[in-house]
Amino acid sequence: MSSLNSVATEVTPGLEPAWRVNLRELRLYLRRNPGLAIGLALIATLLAFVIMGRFVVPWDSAFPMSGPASSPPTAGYPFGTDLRGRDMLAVMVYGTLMTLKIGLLAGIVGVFFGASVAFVAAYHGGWIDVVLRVIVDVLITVPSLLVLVVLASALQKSMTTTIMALTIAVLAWREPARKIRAQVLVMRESPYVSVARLNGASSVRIIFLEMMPNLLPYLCASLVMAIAWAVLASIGLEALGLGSPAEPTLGMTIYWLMTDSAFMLGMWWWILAPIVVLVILFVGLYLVTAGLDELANPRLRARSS
Amino acid sequence: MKGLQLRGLTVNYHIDDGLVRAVDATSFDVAPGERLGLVGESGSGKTTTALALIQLLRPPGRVDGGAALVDGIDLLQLSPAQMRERRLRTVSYIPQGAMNSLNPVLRIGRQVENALIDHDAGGDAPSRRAIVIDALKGVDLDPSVAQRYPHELSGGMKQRVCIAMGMLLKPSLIVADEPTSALDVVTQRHVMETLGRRQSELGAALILIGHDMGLMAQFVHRIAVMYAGRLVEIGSTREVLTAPRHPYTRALVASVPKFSDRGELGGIPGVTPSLRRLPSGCAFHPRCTMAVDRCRLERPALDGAPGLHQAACHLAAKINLAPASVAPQGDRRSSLVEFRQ
Amino acid sequence: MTVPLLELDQVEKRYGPVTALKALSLTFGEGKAPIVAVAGESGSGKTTLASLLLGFTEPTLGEVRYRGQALRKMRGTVRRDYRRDVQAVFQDPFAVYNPFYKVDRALSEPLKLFGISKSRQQARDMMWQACEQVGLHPEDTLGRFPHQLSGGQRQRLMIARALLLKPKLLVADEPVSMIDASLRALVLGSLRQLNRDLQIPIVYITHDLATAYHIADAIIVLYRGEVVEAGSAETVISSPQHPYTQLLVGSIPWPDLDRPWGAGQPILKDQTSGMPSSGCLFAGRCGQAMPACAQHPPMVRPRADTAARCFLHRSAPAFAAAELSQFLSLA
Repeated sequence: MSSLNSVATEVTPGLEPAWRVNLRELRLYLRRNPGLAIGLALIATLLAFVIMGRFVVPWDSAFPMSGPASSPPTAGYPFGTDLRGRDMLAVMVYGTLMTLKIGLLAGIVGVFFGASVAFVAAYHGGWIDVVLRVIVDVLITVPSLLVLVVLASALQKSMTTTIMALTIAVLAWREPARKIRAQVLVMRESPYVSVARLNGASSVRIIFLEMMPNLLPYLCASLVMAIAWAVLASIGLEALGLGSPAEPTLGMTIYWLMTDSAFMLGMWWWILAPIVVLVILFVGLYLVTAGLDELANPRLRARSS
Repeated sequence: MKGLQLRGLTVNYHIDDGLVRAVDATSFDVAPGERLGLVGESGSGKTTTALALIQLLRPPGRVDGGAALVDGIDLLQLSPAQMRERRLRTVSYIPQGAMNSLNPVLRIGRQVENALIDHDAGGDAPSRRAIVIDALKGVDLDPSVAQRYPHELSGGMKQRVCIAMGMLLKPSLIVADEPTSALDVVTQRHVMETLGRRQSELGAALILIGHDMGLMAQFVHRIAVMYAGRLVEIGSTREVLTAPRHPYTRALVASVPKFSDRGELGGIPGVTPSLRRLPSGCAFHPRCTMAVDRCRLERPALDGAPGLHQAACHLAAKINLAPASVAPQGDRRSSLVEFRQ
Repeated sequence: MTVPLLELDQVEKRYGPVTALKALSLTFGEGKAPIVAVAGESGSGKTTLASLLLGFTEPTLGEVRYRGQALRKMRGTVRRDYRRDVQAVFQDPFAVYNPFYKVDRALSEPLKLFGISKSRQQARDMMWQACEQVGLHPEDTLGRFPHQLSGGQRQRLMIARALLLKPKLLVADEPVSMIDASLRALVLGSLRQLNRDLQIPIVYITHDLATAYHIADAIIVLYRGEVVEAGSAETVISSPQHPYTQLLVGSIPWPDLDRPWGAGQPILKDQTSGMPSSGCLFAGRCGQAMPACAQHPPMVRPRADTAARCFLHRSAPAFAAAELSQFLSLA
């Protein structure tokens, strides 16, 4: 059926500006793929919460002794406070922000490195490709949590959110490398790449000026997925207590509410707030990743249409 | 009524700045067993016409008028569910590159069988399998092909599988959209001969969409020429090729390489107009060597009557038609027409 | 003896067990500018030949030489010269343009990279002129994105690109097969203009013998990696000597009701496997196969201007493969 779609637009070349066609295609796609739409909506809601929350609560309130300890939700503290007097609203706002920052940093570094490896391997082929591919394939089979736990433990003394992000980046680059390599392998055979070679263009020029611009949408999708993975990985590590002890990220909040016996003390507000935020985050990230994966993988897309 | 009666088909693209007419009040008939060639360049409306007929037009395209009668039923009035049922049974569409849409992970026999199952046809499993074997034999394929995967077949063989699938439920109308575009000449001939033979066996009407006048000459009985969404000439193959009455057709025929005049390559000056900004009056007038004022002001309608050699040109009436008997090949003057004012 | 521009010396290309192109020797001399058609179906080896000529792939056996130097070892300035001297026009007029950029870039890039133009303005002027030379309106063509031009315009722009580079050899790989039949004449006319005005030899790869008949001087017919017929394009297509060429020519859809395709042709059948590959490769599909065809037929010369590889002409004088290039006036 997708061939018919292309026939319809081929028949009316240049009738509508390209961006308008893409926008309409996007809208139609979102309608057919509600998962992606819902996921995007959830993440957008969370982002709105974080952005507006910064005007409502100050940064310091997310730290201990900002208010009365163990207080249930009141007018002054709508989400209550935890055992050490952190304003839970502030913790949610700034914690989410910190967690997202970790994800962003890890994702960007991961995709940057992964894409570089992918381009070099795919474009040059030969033994470089074989070596890099073996490395990536082996690393992919390695259970990430194990490696990350070991790494994070080793770096425990100097742990900060930045170090956490870089730790995760160590493994975040694997999947983008594999996926982008596949795309580059296909692109390498494009006639316009052949023409570029006829122009006498160097490999570097071809990679950055010919192939990269056409990969931008795919790179963006990879980036979002890498960020999602990194966010979840960081929460997992921090919930085990391996995060930065001073910074109230979402994961550390989970860790603290467990070690400070929130359950036993019956402080439901302390438990509820992070759980809700986490659920929205997890579900949203999952739906977005699944939706983007289908977008990027045409075979999955064909089945749904 | 058998065959296809197309009346006044109009297709518009409803885009934000208004309406763009992709097909403009086009009418033609195709009798059972007859082959009509729908010829035009990209953007002429020929594929849009086919897609509209079988309700496969995508938004913002929409059928805004006309009737397409096959077996007495107007295809354009059917609901999507009814149309889905009719597809393959009443009308069958073989798209360009159909061979590429075969499922690479299913065996051929299975895919053909699936076409039967999807349309609740063929009876039980053994009867279905017998139909599949017959269908493959009908397109000159060895029954062992049923056990193979698409990648094991050549392009021509795959296309014949698609033809077999298209003919499974004995449709009354077959629409083939450039079915041989990616194939070499020998395979093309094989595929077209197979298509023609199966069509004759079924007694179905067939529309062949394309841009290759040579292919049309070898295959179809009648030719309809489209330009900028309008039908500009229609007649028998011999009439249209040897004595074209519309200047566009004449230029089209002249631009196809022939055996007789080696080294002579014609072309059509100018560019196909954008459907958004069609020239006033006759859409071809800016590129026409014979245009007069009237051509710019008034849009010509098809002259004559359905069944005759018609052309939509103000000057066609004044043109002396070449005699029906064809002059010897070497004499090119026989295809030129006298212009009498 | 002068060094030929480009030479294929007993070149053979294999992909695993499949031989895409069998031992072929072809020489392109400087100063000769014929249009040579290379005809064949998919799997004939014509695409492989193009890849070898353009240096996109290396031969399994034999050597491709540019001005006497082997391509696979060439680096630096010589490689640069080779790149400039051997250019191509490809089949898909849409895919040859990077959709991210305007079409101008297809012309400005090589001008810049080969140092042909010294300034932006000069590049602009040269591009403008090249467009006009191929019959395009520069103001309607330059500055647009690929999807805004028709197939014919895009392909002619690619020819304009070749005009700018003034190569010494142009490989045209099925340049009109994806263009509407009515627009083909314009593109072919531009190619012919390139050949006549700039004396650039063209290797015209096609499966469409009708166009080859019109613009080619010489023709090589390939079947499953092997040359089965070669000679003057006009005579070979008018009166083919090899059964495969006869099949090809007989299947041409001429727009002429008095020239039906398939006239006098055997019934078509699919390629049957299980034929001895030591014999004639076409025997399985040939309507005139004989017991002798179990042997591999040598090239012979049934006519002064035609060479064919078929036992039907076994009494004709022998033809050495090495003579091929001279025979076709390539060198």
